[in-house]
Amino acid sequence: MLENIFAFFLEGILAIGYEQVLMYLIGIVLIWLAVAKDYEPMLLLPIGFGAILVNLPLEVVWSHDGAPGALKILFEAGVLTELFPLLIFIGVGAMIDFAPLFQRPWLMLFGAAAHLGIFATISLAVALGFPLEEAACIGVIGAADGPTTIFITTKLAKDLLGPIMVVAYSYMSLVPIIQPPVIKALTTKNERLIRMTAVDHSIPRVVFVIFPIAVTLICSILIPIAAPLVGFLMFGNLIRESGVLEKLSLTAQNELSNIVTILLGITVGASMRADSFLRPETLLIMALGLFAFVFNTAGGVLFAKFINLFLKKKINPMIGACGISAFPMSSRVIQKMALKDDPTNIILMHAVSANVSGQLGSVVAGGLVLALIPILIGG
Amino acid sequence: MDFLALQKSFLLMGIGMAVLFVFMGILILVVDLTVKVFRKKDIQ
Repeated sequence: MLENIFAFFLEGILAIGYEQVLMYLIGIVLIWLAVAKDYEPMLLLPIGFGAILVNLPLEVVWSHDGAPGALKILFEAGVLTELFPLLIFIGVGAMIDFAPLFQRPWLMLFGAAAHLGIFATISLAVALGFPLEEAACIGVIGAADGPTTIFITTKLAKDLLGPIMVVAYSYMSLVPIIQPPVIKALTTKNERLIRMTAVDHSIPRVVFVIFPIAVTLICSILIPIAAPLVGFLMFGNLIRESGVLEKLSLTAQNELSNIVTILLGITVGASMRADSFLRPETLLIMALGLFAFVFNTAGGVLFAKFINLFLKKKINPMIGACGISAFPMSSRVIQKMALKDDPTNIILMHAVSANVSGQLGSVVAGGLVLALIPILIGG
Repeated sequence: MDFLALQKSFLLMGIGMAVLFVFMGILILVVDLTVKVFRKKDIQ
């Protein structure tokens, strides 16, 4: 009997290999980034802890004695079914204010231009040896849109979910560090000093209600497979803008988002099992994810410079960088950069306009990838 | 290197960027038009 008790206590210790220890360290680093550096703490902390949980001896939280554990149940019910990312999108939609964009709708073009990096990264990943469907998921990291990235990856390359999610959310939190040097390298000080004229005309209330319905219809007709993404995002926005569902709007923005974020974070962390995470490809995905962010930023800035060739009244090219969907972080970064060069230069509303259109752009880009990859592989 | 896959990825880039710009163009028109129509009604 004593032998059995002794073996029971040894079982856990003997089940720990160097891979598990490495995963604990990675989990601790993610938690440290969240707590000490304040980098996307709402996601990096649950992801970090999830990574530790799933690599504990015998993986009991994943499955035990043939029965699925709590994390596996959450993973299958919330991530593999795409339920969690879609629920998050209701909250995101409820948080988006399209008013600044309606004042200057032409800035939506940046929501398209700043997604060049997604497609450029897909090509680079293919050149480095990734199959097209895996390359597509890596490219989508550049959209800076967590729910879309999860949605695409669960459909095209489930095995890469762990590394792709960690890379995507880590870089999203590093937008203030990644974007400024790229923008500075591509613009002159004079360009960064360009002032943008303030526009302030009233927008009829009905436009706010029509817009989410119109976006859902147009996008779903153009790219039917993107309907869940755009539909849930715009549903959240309609709740907000209807003006009659304030309680639901606040619930979507706060309680719903917070609850799903907790579950999504820990479940994504649970996809970081040592055997699927500790691979050379993970390092490549990290490098490619960075390339996608850099190239998306560059795409937006260079497009703004291109437009300036034809405009008498030039636009500040830094606004182009906000076309990625890291909302509202990217617009804040750009405003901060503008104030650094000229403390009286306010371009925040223009930056926010490009930024919210980036959210729409990432959903469309994600839908396109989902729709076209199977056709390209089959053909 | 899989040149066929690379070729396909470039095709994806071309179609993807084109559709993105078309989509944004349609949205710009929709917003512009609805703002104009409903502002006129507001004034009336």
